[in-house]
Amino acid sequence: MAPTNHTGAPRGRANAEDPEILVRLVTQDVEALKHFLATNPVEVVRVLLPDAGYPAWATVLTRESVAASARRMAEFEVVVLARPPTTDRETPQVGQGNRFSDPKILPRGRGRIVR
Amino acid sequence: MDSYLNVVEIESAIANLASGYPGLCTLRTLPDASAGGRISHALHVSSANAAMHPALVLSAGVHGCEWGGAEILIAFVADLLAAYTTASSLQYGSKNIPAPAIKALLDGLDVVIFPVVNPDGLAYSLSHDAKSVAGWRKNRNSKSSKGQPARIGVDVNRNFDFLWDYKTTMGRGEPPASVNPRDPDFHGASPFSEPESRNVRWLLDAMPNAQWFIDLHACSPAILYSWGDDQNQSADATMNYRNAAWDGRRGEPDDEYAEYIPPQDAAVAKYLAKAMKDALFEVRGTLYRPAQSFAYYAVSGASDDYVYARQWETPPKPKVLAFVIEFGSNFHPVWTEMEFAIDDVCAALFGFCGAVLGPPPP
Repeated sequence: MAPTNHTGAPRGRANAEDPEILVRLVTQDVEALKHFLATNPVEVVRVLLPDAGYPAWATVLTRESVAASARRMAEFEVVVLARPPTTDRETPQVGQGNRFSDPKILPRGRGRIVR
Repeated sequence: MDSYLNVVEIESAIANLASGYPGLCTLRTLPDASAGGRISHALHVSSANAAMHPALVLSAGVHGCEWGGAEILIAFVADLLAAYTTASSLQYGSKNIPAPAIKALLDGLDVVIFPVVNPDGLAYSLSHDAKSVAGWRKNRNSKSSKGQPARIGVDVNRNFDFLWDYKTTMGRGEPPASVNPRDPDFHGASPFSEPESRNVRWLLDAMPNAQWFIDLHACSPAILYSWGDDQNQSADATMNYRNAAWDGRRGEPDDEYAEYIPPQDAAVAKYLAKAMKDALFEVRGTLYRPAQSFAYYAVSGASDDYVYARQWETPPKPKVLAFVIEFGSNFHPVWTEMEFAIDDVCAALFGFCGAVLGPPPP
């Protein structure tokens, strides 16, 4: 998370009906993107401008209602990246205790070793 | 493992790697304890005896809510060590790293991982943020808080000595940081006021053989290269961040100021970013876009800009090309999703190492 630019109006408090979500706005129209970011309550995580055939991307934290308003605009494709988890299955889990308390236990990577 | 490592486990995991591979690994203790009293460590992986190899320094966990960076770095060195010591190749999805390439990597490079730069922030986020989409970004320093919880913490990645005093050095557009302790990008009381940023500086000072630095963040699949304060230009070497004549005019796109980067560095940075993107794409077809760190919005006080800028300090430090990988599409996804990001970024890091060991860019 590099930039945290607080553009637009205050985001206000998220609630169950209008939760804070993480979305990516994808567009070929940079001016429309700049205008949207400047006039809506969003926190910018990252903007990537069009380059080498890629469109502009903006990853933003905002509320569901703001993302819905972007979705209604022809200039944007809106991809929802994350919503607050509502079930245990959707909730990231963190290890308890110390699974490496025995110095002989080595962490393993994810690559498949091929001999 | 089927869940994220907690901070104690991260420290134990790298300590175990150090004791499990004593001929290849050295645990380095970082000098400055966090506000919460945590001592951090880095793991130095090297096959060198007397002669020093050029080194790649990898850091993660600068922002508390960006879980998963430590897991990526630990998985990367665990795979590297396991494959190197068994003369094996590695497979991430469709991406194969042949055994000779792994041998060449560790016979030619040192790799240093600093998996959690901000252990207090990560520990706080791990215990508070599982139910939210973002969460705690800063460290847990309460010096500027005046006793108010909402004012706790400094954004470590705005605390490095690179255009830190943005009110003087940057333009009047969107501020690249904040002087308000309530904000998530509060830049602290002074450059390097925070133990976490000082530890990164110390590690670079302790690694004069460092030639590359990659800092892992979340979450916009992207591979970023210098600079972050303004658009790049290679035509006017006097138009640079050290030139006070340009104070107040940096940070806006498409205006008279752009940051000078030597043309050879710009070419190599793009080449290496593309090497990472290509290796990562081979795993399962995920696109991480290579891009300059500055894109529409500027940053100040960021680690990657500081590290690359060290070559122009007085006295000058060795040149270190700096990158940021922003992994995944979520600050802390469920573990099964994080596993994909681990595979992707590990492949990218192997791709990076292969590129720096290979022939120079065309």
